[in-house]
Amino acid sequence: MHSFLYNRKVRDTLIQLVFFAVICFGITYLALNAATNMRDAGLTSGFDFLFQRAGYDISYSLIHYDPKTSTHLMAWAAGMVNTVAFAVVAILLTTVLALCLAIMRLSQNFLLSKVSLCLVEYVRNVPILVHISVWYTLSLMLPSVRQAFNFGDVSFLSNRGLSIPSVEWNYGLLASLVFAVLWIVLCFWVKKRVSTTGRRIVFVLLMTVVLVVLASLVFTPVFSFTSPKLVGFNFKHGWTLPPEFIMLIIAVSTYSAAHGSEVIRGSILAISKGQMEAGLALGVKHNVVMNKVIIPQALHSIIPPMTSIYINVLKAAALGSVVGFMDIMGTMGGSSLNITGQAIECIVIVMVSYGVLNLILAAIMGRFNKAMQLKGR
Amino acid sequence: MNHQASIEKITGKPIEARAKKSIPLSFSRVVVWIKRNLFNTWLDSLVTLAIIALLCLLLPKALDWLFFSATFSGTSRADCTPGAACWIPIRQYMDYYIYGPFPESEQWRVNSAFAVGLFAFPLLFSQRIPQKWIVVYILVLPVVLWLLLKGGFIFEDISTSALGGLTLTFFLGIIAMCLSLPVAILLALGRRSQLPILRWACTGYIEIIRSVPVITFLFMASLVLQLFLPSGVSIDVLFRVLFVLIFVSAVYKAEIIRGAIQAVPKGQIEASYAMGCGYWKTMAYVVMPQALRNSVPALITNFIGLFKETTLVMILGLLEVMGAINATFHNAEWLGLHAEGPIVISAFFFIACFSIAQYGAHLERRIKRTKH
Repeated sequence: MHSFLYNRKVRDTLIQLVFFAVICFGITYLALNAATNMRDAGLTSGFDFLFQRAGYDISYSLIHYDPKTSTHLMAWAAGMVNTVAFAVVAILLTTVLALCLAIMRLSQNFLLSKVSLCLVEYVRNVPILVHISVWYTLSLMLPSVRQAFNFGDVSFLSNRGLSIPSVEWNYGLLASLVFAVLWIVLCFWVKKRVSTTGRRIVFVLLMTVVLVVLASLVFTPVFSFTSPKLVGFNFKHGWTLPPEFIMLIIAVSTYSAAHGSEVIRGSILAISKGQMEAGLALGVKHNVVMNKVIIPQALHSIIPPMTSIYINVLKAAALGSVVGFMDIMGTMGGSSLNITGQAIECIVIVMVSYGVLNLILAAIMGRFNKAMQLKGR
Repeated sequence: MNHQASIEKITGKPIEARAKKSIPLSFSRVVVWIKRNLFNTWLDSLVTLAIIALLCLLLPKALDWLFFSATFSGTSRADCTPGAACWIPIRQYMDYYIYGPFPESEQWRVNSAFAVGLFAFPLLFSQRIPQKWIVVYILVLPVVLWLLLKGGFIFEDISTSALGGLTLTFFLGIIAMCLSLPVAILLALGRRSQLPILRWACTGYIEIIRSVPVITFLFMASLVLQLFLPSGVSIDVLFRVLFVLIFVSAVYKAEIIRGAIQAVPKGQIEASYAMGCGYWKTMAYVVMPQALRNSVPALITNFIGLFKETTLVMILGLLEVMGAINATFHNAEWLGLHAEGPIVISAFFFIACFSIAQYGAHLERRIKRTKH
């Protein structure tokens, strides 16, 4: 009996069985409690509530959402679209800002480097909630629509938010299809003819511009822009981004850019100093060595930590509920949960949504990382 | 014959020559430095001039608003100078920001709790103190803090609503940090375990919690947790928040510790097994001492994150330091002072987090030095 218990395989199996049993017991206990509590409250579990009328308003939604007729499913979709829109804009802004801050910090100019140091250290040592509340307070001080900041008559910044020109696609279905086919053919042609990966992207962009200009000249314009106009007490036409959305984006992207700039700076500094000196000794200019030698090597060690910063940006969308911007957490995990009382279902939906978004982001960055790795020859 | 002369006899040259000679500061060196670091190219000069102009324009105004024209003493809103900062409410409510609604007669307990917490710095700083003491300190700290701030056993029990301000921030931050460490170690070991069920469970837990924002769990703890408890049982909101902070931040710490465990050479573990040590002995005496020591800088960064995250409990109505400061400016008398509150909160967090971060950087440098 003694030797039987001390057998490695037997003991491992026993430990795992006990562990499994404890987990199962815990989950069953919680589930039974939940079942009793829900029966007492007169609730039935299930996902039927998704097709019921939601009946609450979402302050800002990119897809059509009507509080009178839309279902909880639509509310979830609106929250999801809001999260994705927020994440895309904030991630792009984070990258640009982080790069600027890192370049400033590495500059030979003493003052510029110290200005960047002060900004980065201040921003990253203060909680994000403070940033959000500061920017939100600033947004309350924006002028009214009549006194809006005017950016060359095409976009306006007021207490209603940022009004920008809207872009419309003018082609019908058939014309769009022809356009798309032409574009794809062009891409394949570029892929066949141009050997360097970096140049391919430039070529595709150039060809796309040529295609758009040609199509616009020969047929009707591909895009049309409508700039916002002040009509009565509000802006008509164009797109209006609400202040809370803009301020949340600014707060979150400056906060993560401060973290990101440290990552970028660290990776660039980690490249051996001899490489820069060798480049300079060969008579190559400082910025050329930076672009062609240092940054391509630094890029592989930048991408993995940047991925986790991007994931934090995505998760920061949930903080929008503090200032009234509703993402999945605000719609499905907040209002829908409170109205229907279907707590478990709502939380499961929220968690799965975040999980899927995270996986997609991680997969994109993983692909990018693979493309950037050094090719061993 | 003194010591220095004997060295000179051996090495053959005066001892000062071996030290780096410091070149005396001269006017021409300063000019060269300025030319090289501020006016290297014409673009550089332009940037320098622009920054100097901006500083000359903004700095006097900012300093004037913050200090020179600002009001420091007084009793009511009428004493404030318009167009400058008004620090009267900050001074008036300073005690409230630090102690919250903690009973005044018991405030020595908060003070001693702060003192016990600050003891961590010399303990981590000194290289002479054995590691055992640090472990004991980390184990004892949450218990002591609990007894001092929450009460029980020999001290009078303090109700949850009496915890607030800096006391609450400190309480949540330190206790969550100390209690999440053992959870994190277990999770990290579980994720690297040979037993598949254990490994899958830990990996699943870590990945799920990592992909969801903390605020979701905080809301869950405040709204949904009740559903899973037997009827009649309810948990205090403070404990729920603490529970969430512990089990969420443990996940991030687990990933840090897992990285450090992976960095321990495999040969050491095999050697330990070959000497006849079991799994727990190998982990406790060979792997963990090295892994934990190497993960201290990353754990300190994580602690800064956790410390900043404690502001989120404000959303659930617990008035930690940010909530307490905001609350005074929602007071009818001080309504409309927008800038003072955020400035004080930012200054507090900046000083606290920046100094901890500098300390972490120092430890990291020291670890690097001892490695080579």
